[in-house]
Amino acid sequence: MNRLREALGELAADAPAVDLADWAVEGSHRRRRARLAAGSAGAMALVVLVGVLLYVPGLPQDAKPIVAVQAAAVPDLPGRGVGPLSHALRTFCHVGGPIPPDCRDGEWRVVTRSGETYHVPQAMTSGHTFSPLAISRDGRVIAYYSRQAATFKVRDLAGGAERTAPVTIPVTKLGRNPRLQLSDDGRYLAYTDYWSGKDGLVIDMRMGTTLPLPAGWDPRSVSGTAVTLARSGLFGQRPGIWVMPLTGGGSPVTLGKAYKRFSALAPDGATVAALGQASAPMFVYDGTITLLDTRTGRAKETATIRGLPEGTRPLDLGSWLNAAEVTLSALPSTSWKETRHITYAVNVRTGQARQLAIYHPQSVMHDVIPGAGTPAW
Amino acid sequence: MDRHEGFREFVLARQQALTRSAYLLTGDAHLAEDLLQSVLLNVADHWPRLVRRGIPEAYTRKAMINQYISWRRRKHMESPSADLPEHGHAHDDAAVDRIVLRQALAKLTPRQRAVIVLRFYEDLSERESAEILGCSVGTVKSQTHHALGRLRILAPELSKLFADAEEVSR
Repeated sequence: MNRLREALGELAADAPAVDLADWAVEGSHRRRRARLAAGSAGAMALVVLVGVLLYVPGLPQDAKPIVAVQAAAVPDLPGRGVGPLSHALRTFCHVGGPIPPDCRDGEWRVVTRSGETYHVPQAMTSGHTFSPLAISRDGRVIAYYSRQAATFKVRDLAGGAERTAPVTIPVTKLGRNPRLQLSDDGRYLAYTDYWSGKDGLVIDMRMGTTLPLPAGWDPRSVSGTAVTLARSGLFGQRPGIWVMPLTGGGSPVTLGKAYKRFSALAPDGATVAALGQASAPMFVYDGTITLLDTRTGRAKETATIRGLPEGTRPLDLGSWLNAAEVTLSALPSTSWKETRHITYAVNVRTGQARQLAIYHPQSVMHDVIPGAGTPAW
Repeated sequence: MDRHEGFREFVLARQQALTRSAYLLTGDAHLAEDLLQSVLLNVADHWPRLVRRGIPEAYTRKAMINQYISWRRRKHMESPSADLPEHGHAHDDAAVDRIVLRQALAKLTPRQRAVIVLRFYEDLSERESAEILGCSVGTVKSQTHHALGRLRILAPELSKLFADAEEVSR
């Protein structure tokens, strides 16, 4: 059964990425207005119809309501004194499977390395498809979008200092899937909406200055000197890397082929790693990791990744652990029930992978680990 | 109170998994999106009641299967390409297996295809599959047996995939 399941999982991975929540809500509102306008006689008929539609023969009529497991309440993030984070995850209260204690629908919660968990009610939750949140590489600073402030905020978890971006960014300008990157020191924040192609910004949260980022580029890392942007080459784009100085300018380099995902800028300041992508069928990871020269775009070295358990599906590359090893995020299987998110250190020269940590988000892709940007579908 | 409170979060958490199931059912990216759109519109309409009863996910999954079977009865949904790519070019073995499997699935009856997706992709038990399909456990068993047998005939080169699945279905 496992082999058939794996084959079906591989096939299902070709499914398109969709975003239907707002569409369905708007459609439902339209239908509701139309029903109300149809007059009382029509409305009566529709009430009967809805009753019929809701009764689906064979539906588990006696299904138990989904109820959160009763446990100690999760406190809100205190103003100060919070230790370094292990990860952040979103909770969902109306889906199947175990519902986390003290569930708040769509809300972010953070988990410290010592296991304390806190709600982050100040981070935007519903009303927008993806609510971005990022954690600095050392786990000590978070960045999030505040609906109240209509912009990003950065908070030092131990000291409690919080800075607000100097420009307001309406939710509508965020795009559907904003990606957020935080510098190691928490001073610089880069965001773009890679998929919907809206312009982004690099924000110096201390000096209150901004640098516009071009649409269609994915920020992979940001530091006090440069923001590293990448473009995978899907959907007819020209694949490229652009190490853009924070003073502006610089120019992108074009890559010889499309890649699936890119890492942060390496410690040498001149390379990034990229996950290889088969030329056909599209989007399929080819099992390799390549070191790319950010000045010429040329591939310096390519290795086949070794040491990943069978069935592992690599998701993304992130920050560097040292001069040779970069972090790889992966799912251990293609099962739709999968809730494990595993990180590995991959040696870019030998391809050897070693496991770093296993996370258990309620829903994969709705969690964030330190040093990695908000996950993109 | 917003009558759709929690709906966006539900869709956000589950739409990717649902799209994948819809894609396995329909075999076509556009039809998969159409199918899911149609189902989510109904789910949005009935959201408050579904939440009160604690069954949004069960309802959505069942509605998607029923909608798919209903569509298949009314129209031809898929035109698998006639020829397979030759081995040894751009496609690796796994890619060829996917293409063969996709074409074989397209030739199953709607219920056979649904039972394969429910049992072997979504990993549901026979009882859970029977509840969603609105039939008996015995019917699920026989549909599974027939579906696997047909896949074996349609795609003999994939017999390795079906061997352990048939063990489970016995």
